[in-house]
Amino acid sequence: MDVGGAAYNELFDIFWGWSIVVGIIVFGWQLHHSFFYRSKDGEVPNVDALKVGEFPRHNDNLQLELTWIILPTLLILYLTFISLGPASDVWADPADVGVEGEDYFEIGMTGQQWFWDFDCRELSTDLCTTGVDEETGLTKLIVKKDVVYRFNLTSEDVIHAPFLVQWGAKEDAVPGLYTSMWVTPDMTGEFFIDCAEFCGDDHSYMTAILEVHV
Amino acid sequence: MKTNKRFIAIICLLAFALVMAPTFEARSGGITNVDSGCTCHTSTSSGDVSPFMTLANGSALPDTYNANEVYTFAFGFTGGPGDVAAGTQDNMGGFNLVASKGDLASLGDFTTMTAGQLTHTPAGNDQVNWTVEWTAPSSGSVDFQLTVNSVNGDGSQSDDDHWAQSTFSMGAVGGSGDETEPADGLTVLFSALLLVASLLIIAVVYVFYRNNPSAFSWESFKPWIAGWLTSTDHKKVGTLYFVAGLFYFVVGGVIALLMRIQLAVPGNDFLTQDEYNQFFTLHGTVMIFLAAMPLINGFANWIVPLQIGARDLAFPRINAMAFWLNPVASVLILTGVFSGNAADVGWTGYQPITSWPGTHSGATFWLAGQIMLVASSTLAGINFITTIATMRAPGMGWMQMPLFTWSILVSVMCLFISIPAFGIGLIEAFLDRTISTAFFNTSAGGDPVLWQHLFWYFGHPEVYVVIIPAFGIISETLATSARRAIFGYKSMVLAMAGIGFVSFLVYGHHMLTSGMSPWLRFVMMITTMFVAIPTGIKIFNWLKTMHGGSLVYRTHTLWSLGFLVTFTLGGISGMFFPSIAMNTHMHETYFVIAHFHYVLVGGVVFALFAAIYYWFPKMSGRMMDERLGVLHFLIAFISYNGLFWPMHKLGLWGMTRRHHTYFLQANEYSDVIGTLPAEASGWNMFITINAFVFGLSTLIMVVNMIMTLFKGKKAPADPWGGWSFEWLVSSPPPTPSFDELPILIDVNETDEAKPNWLMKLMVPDDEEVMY
Ligand code: HEM
Ligand SMILES: [Cu+2]
Ligand SMILES: [Cu+2]
Repeated sequence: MDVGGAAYNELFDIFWGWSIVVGIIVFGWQLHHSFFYRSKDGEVPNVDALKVGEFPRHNDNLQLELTWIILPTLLILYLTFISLGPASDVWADPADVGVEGEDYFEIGMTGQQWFWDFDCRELSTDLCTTGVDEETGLTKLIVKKDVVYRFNLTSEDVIHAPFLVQWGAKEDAVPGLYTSMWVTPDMTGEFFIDCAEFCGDDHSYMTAILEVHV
Repeated sequence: MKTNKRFIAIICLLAFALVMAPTFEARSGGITNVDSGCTCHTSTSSGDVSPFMTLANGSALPDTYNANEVYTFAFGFTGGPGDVAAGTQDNMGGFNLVASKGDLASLGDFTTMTAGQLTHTPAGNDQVNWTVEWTAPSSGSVDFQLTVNSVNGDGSQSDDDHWAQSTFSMGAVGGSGDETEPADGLTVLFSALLLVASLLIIAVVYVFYRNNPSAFSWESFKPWIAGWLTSTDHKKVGTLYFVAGLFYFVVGGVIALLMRIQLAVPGNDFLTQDEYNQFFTLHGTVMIFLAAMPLINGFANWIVPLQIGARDLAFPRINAMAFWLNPVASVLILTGVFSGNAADVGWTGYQPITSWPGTHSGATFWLAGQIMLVASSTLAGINFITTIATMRAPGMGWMQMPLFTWSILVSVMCLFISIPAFGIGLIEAFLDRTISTAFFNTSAGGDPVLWQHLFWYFGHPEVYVVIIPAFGIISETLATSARRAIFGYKSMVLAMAGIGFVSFLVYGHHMLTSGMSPWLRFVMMITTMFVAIPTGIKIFNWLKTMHGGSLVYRTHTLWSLGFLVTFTLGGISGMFFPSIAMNTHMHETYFVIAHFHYVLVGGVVFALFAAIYYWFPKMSGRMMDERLGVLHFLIAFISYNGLFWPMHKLGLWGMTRRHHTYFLQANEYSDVIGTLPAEASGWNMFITINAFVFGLSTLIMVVNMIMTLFKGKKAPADPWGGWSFEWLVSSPPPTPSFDELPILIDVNETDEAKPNWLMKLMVPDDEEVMY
């Protein structure tokens, strides 16, 4: 099963590609030098005439140093640039997304030691239903596929963080603060909501179920 | 004797403070609980109220229970103002029930579980008896402590309200003593620590014995050990730091291995949730504050004065004091681990969980211990900055300092500037826990995100505080191994200073999903990306240093090359986090764990190993065994990668950190609640096996060090052919280290004309003569 969501997967592939390029350059270079410049049998030539108590002759080359300042900077500017677009989706300003109740729908989600509480507000049962999963006894949220949801998060006690693995969505639920998490479920089925911010004894079991229907 | 009296007075004061600290934990009566629970009882218990506890059917509590069976108990009280006919008054009573073993669970609306204890809800106030479900443990006798209030119903606190407390006990079913108990995490930990501590003591005594076998007696041991304990010599204090750091490295490692046993298979119950939470907290705190930092301090103490040609540090007594705060702090930090009450909040100590009533009392001591470490680091900071700024040998300007000294200067500066924020945060948290201030208490308007800002403003520079000295070490070991001057000395210095500077601007990348303002998150994302530039400069400069050189393969060379591989990998995985759309998926998963172990273990610890093999001959006067060294490197390097590499994949699959177990997609509980594919289980077992190999390989080094002390070949003054002043003095160096201050000759001086304006600003006036 694919995890992480579309934006993550797209960025990950690009970053991963560049990681391999950087890795090949660095490790290739290192591997070559480690063997090519090793001292042959017992011979220990003192290349730069190092001597105790003498600051050695500078071993500089401005052009080379500038090269490996400028090239990585370009790569980083590029990676920063491609990261900017998806980032603004993660925290979309509601006004940019459209009208609440038409273009997107709000669901309240409250963390408590140690369960998740959902609040469908005035949404129709087709868009949002809450319940309890019979098999596991976990709280459950049932939503519709391909609808833009804005989860309004808060906490009753300590900090929690819902983690929807399939869409790579995560945001802290902080007591005394409202934060938001945008999710557009694009798969149907039953999924797992985990808690990603340490919240005390039963942190590992603070789970809930998200069911997505067509 | 006057000093003796003062000494006793201080001890008494400390003892008093220790005894009083827990009693000042006024949390439950404080602001936190204003709207829950009943605080309407008087201060003394009274005899007319009698608590009772029976089985649900009214028959008396049995003497023994059956393992793992579920029981329902009825309990309550008779007597006092609340004991009236039902319905005649609101607010009749309240209670609190604690079970020493097994699990309590609330039944119905009248009772609720908070912080592992059962108490009444507001509706439950109108009752005089309640019921509870209890799941028996597998063994051991159990105590139920029941506290009840019998109140007169006027809703306010008065002397007419009475309360009482009783304890009810049950034993385990007898006769099953032959049933073997499964290993218990705490017992294993205790035995392992006892073993490590005994080995340490044996090693100390053995070292003393081998020093002078004919004078092996208490009379001569006493002055010898007292000499160590009271010394202010930078070399001896350095060794103390070193021994303490190594000791806690093993402690932190043992705790990590126990966590790995727990995670080896899904759904394991080797450690309870509660133990696991304490273990990762202590593992993180011990490794960073009690292992990595002291080891770095040990080398800084030993090497910096030697490298700059100073006789000692500027303030030797402050130096000794900075060290001696450490052992005391370490005891405080680990307080409660054997009674199962150690801090259980994560090394980051996020709020409000750290001030939460359910958090163990050990967290108070954990905070106190860290406050002491803040004091220790501040003292050490003053000392090193002063020493490096004022005590350099004649001829050594700022830009002639060896890179290791530069790295310590930069790291100490970062620490010195960032740690006050941490200190303030810790003191606020400590006051929240002890005298119910409300800095982080949300119900009183406190701000939990404030803690994150204070912590990470320190915490991010802190990780550079430990990695920058590692850069310094590698610059020394790699250049010496290649028999070359380091490539781009100036850009190395500038890169270190640059990393130190940027480290203050990027801390928000730990808070990209914390509800922090989106604007700030964008800024942090961009600044964080730029950290890669100075780090890249360093890596490329190291590689270029090898160019045209003549690599002499020694153990420290291997560790340096290993460092280059693992640190680069850690650096690359670090590039994924600042990108926000990826961060939301990866934050708080094992990808993070993998990344920071690649930089902390593959970076800091590998560099420290390199430093041990590199400088141990200088410190002890004996050459270490190269064959054992190579063996250590090979085993550790391979198992290290086996240990941490698969964690990347687990993290991407969605395995979250600080979880005491994990769920596969189809598991024994349910076929819907897991996320991890079935392979995850096999990989976790693989990781655990590698963790044990890696952990044990460290022992090879320890054995090597101890054997070297006695059997090693005598080391010459300059065994590797380095150029800095530490190689000028004999191995081991005399005390004071230099009879006569050495003078540094800069071979570049002849070709360089006048110093430029920047250098002029940086060189103190009285040293101008050297140009
Ligand atoms: C034998 C070697 C080691 C092993 C097997 C190991 C294993 C682990 C594991 C499994 C965790 C994750 C716990 C969890 O989130 O559930 C962890 C966390 C951590 N480790 Fe290590 N580790 C080792 C060495 C180190 C070293 C040398 C350092 C530091 C210099 C270190 C620093 C940390 C920190 C800071 C955490 C985070 C603790 C927290 O979440 O509060 N570890 N380690
Ligand atoms: Cu949690
Ligand atoms: Cu950071």
